[in-house]
Amino acid sequence: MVWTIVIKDLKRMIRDRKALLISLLMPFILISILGFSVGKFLDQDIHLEAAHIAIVNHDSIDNDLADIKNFLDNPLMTNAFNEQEKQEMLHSMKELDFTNIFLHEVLEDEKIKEFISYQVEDEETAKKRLNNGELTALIVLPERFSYNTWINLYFPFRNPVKVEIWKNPDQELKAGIVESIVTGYTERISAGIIAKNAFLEAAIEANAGTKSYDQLAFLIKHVMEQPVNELHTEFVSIHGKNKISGFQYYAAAMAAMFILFNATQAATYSLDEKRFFTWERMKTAGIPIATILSGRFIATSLFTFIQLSFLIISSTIIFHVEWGDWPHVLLITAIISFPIGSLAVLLSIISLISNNERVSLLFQSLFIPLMSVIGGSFVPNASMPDFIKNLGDLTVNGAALQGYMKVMQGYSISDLSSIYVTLLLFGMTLMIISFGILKRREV
Amino acid sequence: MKILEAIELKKIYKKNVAVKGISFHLNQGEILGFLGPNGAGKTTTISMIASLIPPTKGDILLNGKTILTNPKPLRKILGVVPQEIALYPELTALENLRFFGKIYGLKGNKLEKRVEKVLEIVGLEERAKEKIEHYSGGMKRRINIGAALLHQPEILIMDEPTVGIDPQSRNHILDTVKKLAENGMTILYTSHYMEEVEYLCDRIYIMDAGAIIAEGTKNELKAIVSKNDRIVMKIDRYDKEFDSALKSIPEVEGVTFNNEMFTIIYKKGSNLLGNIFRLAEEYQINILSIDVKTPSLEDVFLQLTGRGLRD
Ligand SMILES: Nc1ncnc2c1ncn2[C@@H]1O[C@H](COP(=O)(O)OP(=O)(O)OP(=O)(O)O)[C@@H](O)[C@H]1O
Ligand SMILES: [Mg+2]
Repeated sequence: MVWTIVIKDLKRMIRDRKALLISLLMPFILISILGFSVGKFLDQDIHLEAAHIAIVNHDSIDNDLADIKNFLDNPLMTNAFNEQEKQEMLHSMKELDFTNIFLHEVLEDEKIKEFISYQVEDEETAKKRLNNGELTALIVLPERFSYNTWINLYFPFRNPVKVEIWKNPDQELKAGIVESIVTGYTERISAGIIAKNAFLEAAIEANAGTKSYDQLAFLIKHVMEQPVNELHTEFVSIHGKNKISGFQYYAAAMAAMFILFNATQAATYSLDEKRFFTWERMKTAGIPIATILSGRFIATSLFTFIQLSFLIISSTIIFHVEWGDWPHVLLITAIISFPIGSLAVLLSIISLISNNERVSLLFQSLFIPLMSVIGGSFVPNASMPDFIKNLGDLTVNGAALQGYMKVMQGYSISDLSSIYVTLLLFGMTLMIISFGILKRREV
Repeated sequence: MKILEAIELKKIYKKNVAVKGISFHLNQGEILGFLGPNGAGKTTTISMIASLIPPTKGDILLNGKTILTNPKPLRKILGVVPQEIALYPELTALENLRFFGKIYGLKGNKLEKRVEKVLEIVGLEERAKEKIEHYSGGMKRRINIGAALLHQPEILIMDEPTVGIDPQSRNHILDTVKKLAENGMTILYTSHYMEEVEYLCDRIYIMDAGAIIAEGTKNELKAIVSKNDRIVMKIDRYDKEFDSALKSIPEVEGVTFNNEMFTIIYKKGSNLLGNIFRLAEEYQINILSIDVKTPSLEDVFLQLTGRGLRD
């Protein structure tokens, strides 16, 4: 009996041109539009599109060199080092021009260059541009930056060095990456300082005394060569997960969003049964409401499955979107279809009890857009505040999108278990609510 | 033999009393008429029989057994033609019939045979593959009836099955009903068309405002008005005060105005014409034609309620 109803419901859905346009053509068009436009931007946002930053440099290598010379010519130092040692030290210091290394080695590193474009500017202009939102971040290299760092690295003194970072709060994600690069750099320098201290302490303990300074230059150089490479890996690891292309993202996002409309459409079909009095005919024949609604549930779930399959196959053929391992794609598609069926039943019951479409229209005009936004159907919700992102991941569409992306990235079924649990729980909760209402209220 | 019986059947919607405790019965093999104006309670009564809504009070018996606790035996042998077109407009007539046949438990070969037979009964074999939404009003009505016949019900309830259709479809439907009855089906036919009930029905209940106000065969009912005569009069304009003046004539039993025509029921033998002409002159109304006729069923209603069936 249920299948008779399911087949009839599916027939009606497939004959409904307007609904088909919304459920199949619209998402397909949006996938292509968003994939070509925003999707490209999205790709670049991570790999190519630069974060614009400004460097305000208060440091001057010539002054620093002059200062360090003065420092070494200081009578105290003259006693500790002979002229040749001094020359060697100056030479290695000259090579360790920290501003220069930061600008020309760190920031112009192949990988980082893809993400950060910088400009050296005076403080006033840079701050103005930051306030205007033209910059992602502003980095201020302090006066005597190299000088103080040399002191810290070569001598047992500790001069405070502070690199300031001003971030654009509207570009939190990008600014955060910039910050991690800068702190990565300064931390490597600190590591050098710590290494120096440990080296000197060890040398003093071994009574090697000032002789050890010979090796210090080598040590520092060695430590200082690390940062760029390690920054490299750090930077890559931030984005290493993001192998998803804009097209892949929007194919999954649109599919996840448009299935929500099936639920409101289903509520309309249920109301139709009342409006067309076909419901009465079935009741006269002794068909219980639960059977009619079960038919609605199965038909909506099946339709959702068909719709998702259509979008997956057509985007694969036309846009070469890679959805991942086929059996896994099939599994997740089936699981996503279940809560949509449940949602259809709940909206149907509410519409039938209130005898109008208001609630389902409200759901369509208010909740679907809201769920789409927080579920990341338009912009990845990773860039949203944690609270919203977490909520978004709990929506059917959000969980579906996360799920599809993970499958695209090649995660295993067990890696997706929390997403599956979310989807199944969501579906079951809606079912329990639906049948709870049905027990209490006459439809 | 009584096949179906309603006892003191009552339905109250919040404050609105739709059916005021009516008793009636349906005899095996007859065509029973329910005649009543809009809002009389016909559909409400049918809905209670079809167990679509529970009665507030009273009982419904099938062969002496209540169906309120167990409607199954009645459901199996009952066909209901709803007042509204109860079909899926996007599906074809064939698909609709197949679907409702399956709903009634028909399958396979038997289903196909019944669908074919029903299409033949309603005379739409040739257009069975068209969508209902492309059908004319009359064709929809015919499929609407057909869908109730699939499971070969013993009792068929038809709720105003000819509302709003062309005369040709209407005649077809009336003939169909006659044929079904000839083949042994028991039919409860509701309408507010006096002619239909007069043409089809063996017995008639007249309903108004939730109550049965008269019952009997055509002739029994007409006897109610046999003491009366009827005047049908055409005038050039309607005047409310003239209407009231007519009603206030002592011998007049009822007055209705429809299609520029006054129908006046009055005691046989009284000389009303003089009175009417005098009033027309007083209210400056021109009488275009005037006829004295013997009463019809419609006049029974008019006399019983003082109103027409379709005001
Ligand atoms: N669901 C309902 N809630 C409240 N009142 C109702 C409901 N259904 C019917 N009624 C009222 O009950 C009365 C009888 O209605 P019903 O539909 O049975 O009349 P009917 O004889 O079938 O009229 P019609 O010829 O217009 O079909 C009307 O006054 C109607 O307003
Ligand atoms: Mg009615």
